[in-house]
Amino acid sequence: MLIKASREIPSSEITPESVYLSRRKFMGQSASAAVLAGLAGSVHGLPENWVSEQGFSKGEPIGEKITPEEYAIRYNNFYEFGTGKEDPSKKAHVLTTEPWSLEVGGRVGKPGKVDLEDILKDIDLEERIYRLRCVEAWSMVVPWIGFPVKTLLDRFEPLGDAKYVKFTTLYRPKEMPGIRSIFSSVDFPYVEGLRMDEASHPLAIFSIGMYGKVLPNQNGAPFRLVVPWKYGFKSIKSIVKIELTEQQPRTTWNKSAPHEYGFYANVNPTVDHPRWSQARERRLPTTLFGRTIETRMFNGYDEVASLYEGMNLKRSY
Amino acid sequence: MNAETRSRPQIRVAWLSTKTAKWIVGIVLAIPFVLLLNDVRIELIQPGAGLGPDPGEALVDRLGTWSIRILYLTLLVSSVARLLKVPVLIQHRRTFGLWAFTYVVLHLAAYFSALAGFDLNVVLGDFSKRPYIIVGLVALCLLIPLAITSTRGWQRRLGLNWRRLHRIVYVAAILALIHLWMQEKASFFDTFMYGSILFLLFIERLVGAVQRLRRKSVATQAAGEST
Repeated sequence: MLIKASREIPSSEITPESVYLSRRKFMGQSASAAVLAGLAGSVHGLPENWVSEQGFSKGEPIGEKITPEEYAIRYNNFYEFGTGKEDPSKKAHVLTTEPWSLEVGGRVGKPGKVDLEDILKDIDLEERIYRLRCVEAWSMVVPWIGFPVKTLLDRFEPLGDAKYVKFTTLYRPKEMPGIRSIFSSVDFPYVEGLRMDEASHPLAIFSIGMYGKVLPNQNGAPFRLVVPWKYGFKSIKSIVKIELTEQQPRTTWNKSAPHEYGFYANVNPTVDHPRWSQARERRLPTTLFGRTIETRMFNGYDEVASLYEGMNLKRSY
Repeated sequence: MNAETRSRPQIRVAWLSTKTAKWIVGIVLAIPFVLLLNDVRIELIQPGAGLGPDPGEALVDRLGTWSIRILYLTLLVSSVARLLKVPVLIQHRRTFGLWAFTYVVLHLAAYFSALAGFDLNVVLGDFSKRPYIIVGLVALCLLIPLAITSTRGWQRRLGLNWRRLHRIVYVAAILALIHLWMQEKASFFDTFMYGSILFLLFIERLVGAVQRLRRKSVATQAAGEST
């Protein structure tokens, strides 16, 4: 069995954040992998060192500094856990990610429900070092661990008329305080979508880990999408359902504010958000008086340009 | 209301009008600024430790939050003074108001330095792309004459017009709320919270005004009857 069974942990046993953080610091200081393996472990779901035990091919450096892990796991948008940047890292630890199953349906030859562990059983994991550009004009560089979206979709035998892929995030109000908020103008469960050819592009991956470890809950554990040429909100987290459709799916942000967030949401410095410019970005962590950097078309992933040939990207933003 | 019931609470709260009380209020309102200054100090020594991964945004955001809080507290002072019948409290309104103005100015200064990097092109670009910045800026401009004329000297010189002039603060308070609302993405909690406070403040003032009018008409009626 790949995934160790989780046990119910009383709240008294959950390590307070301060202790946890100081332990983290200590772990960072002790370079020994053996020490790391001994201490690592998460409250629910895969043990932290599962990814390194499994093994993965190392990612190619992109010549840009990788965002320190402490920022990537502390500065998140995951509105199911609150709208503050630090809400997810404070509140997502209660999320149960094991067992986790994925429902695949719609225009596929072999629909069904599969356990995550069965999906991962015979998949080659690879590390991908990607820029992550948020629609809010900040960005990071994150070493993801995962596998191409196409690898998984092919197993379910997409039908010829499948034009789009619709992804749905877990909806579990009990563990997700953000969903319970009556002030939310966002519809849950969170839904995102891609065109079939976008999803099949080799750059689009499903991720189960980052920084050599399994995904922390706030980063979309245990299973998320990463589409590096699109704004971050397209890279949907904690996916429980995948449907192949003929019609373009109605996606969460697009539904909530269609003039601000398009279906495509390709990173594009020439198309501004109605409330701010997208020409530049703040690469995190910035210093207090740090300079911004120029945002690149498709977030610098020019190889996807052919997907949009003949399209007016100012209109299909 | 007879003289006795009015004088009693005033004796109890007499110290509120002392210089010491004013200093205490001023120092309390400076605490958020001092704490923030300390975080900036930590941030400059060890990036990320004081203000997080996006320190510029955090600084502007925190100053903005305290601006609206203290601005609304300023308006709350006279409501509380009326509701608790402790008119001396009104003497502290100036301290609140001037601190609110200070936080607003610091909020703008933080935007100019930490977010716009003193780059006029960025600022001008933002003004056209981000209407909420213009709304905030108008609110700040409206507060300038109020800060200038907050002294006793100006109060005397302007007489009745001083009160009229200072009603502008309500426009600034509404603009501050709009400034906040325009930036909300998915949760309207803050807008709802500050909006409710402002709404209650307006209700209190409306009730007060109606009561005053009624008292006035009763008084004129009585005066008419006696002649």
